[in-house]
Amino acid sequence: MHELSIAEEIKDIVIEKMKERGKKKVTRVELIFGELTSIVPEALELAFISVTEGTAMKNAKIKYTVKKLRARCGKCGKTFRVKDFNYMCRSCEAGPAEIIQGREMIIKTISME
Amino acid sequence: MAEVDVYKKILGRNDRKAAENRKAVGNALCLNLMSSPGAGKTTLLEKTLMALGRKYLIGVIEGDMATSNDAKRVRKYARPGAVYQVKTENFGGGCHLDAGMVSTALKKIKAGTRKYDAIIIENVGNLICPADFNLGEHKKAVMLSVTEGDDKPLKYPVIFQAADLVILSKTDLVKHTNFSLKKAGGNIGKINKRAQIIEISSYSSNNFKQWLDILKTWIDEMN
Repeated sequence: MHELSIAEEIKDIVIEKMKERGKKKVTRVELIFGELTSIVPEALELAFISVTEGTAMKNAKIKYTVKKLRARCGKCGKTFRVKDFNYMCRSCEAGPAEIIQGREMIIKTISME
Repeated sequence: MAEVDVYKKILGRNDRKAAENRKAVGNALCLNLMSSPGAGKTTLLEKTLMALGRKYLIGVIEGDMATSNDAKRVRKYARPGAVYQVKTENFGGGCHLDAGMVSTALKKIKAGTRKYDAIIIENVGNLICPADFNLGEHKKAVMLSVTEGDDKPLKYPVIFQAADLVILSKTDLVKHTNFSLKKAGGNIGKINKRAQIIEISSYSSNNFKQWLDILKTWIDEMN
């Protein structure tokens, strides 16, 4: 639902990086999203096309990696994959566990020319 | 062609603005109040201002896509100049407040110069998007009314997982629904053991004191 806001933020960051390096065109933007963010990739791609129309980023492709939700148990220190939003540690059944992966929203690389 | 490693947070600008907002509110408690549309956020604020508005200076930032209806409602009970309505249609029609919008609102209610005890942000009614946008708040409260379904925490885990407090609201209506307060509490506990859970009715004032006591405790903790 807010992929348009996210796409605008990506566009602004990419344009800033382009200017820093004196580049004229962007061909690809690689992103990392955590599973816990509410991003729908297909919606983001559509939003990206919309906000980059008429810019140096027009026709740039988005590639993304989704990071799975992982947590660390506050009691025994073990890390585990969180499934079905169950934050109970499977080793010692304690909780709550601290989220260590899954909330990211990052621009990893930008391909420019 | 060059591939440049960037590794930059997409919401970094929002997060930096949120940090500025946190500084701007000083010692005032900043609370982000979230729920689906119609869960009772504005009524909660009206009743809260009626109960605490004389003793505490409470600012309110209202967030909606359109209209100033909610700001008009709470202004009746708030101190002059302490309420501001953000209309997201003026920012492209978003489904959530972001830190930039809140920054503007904080300036409008003069958060930098008035000694607020609390500033409550009533976010846009939405159980998905507000969870992703840090506004600079100290605490997050999520309301869930008994007319919505006791499995909503499992359906919208991100926002419930982030909550410091879950307010189960409109409990005066529970006998007319198949909502189970016990099941809702259990579902919240599955994804968030940290959150306090309270059951209230703003209209009948059932257990409303529990909410006021939590708010007062949070305000006191800021000083």
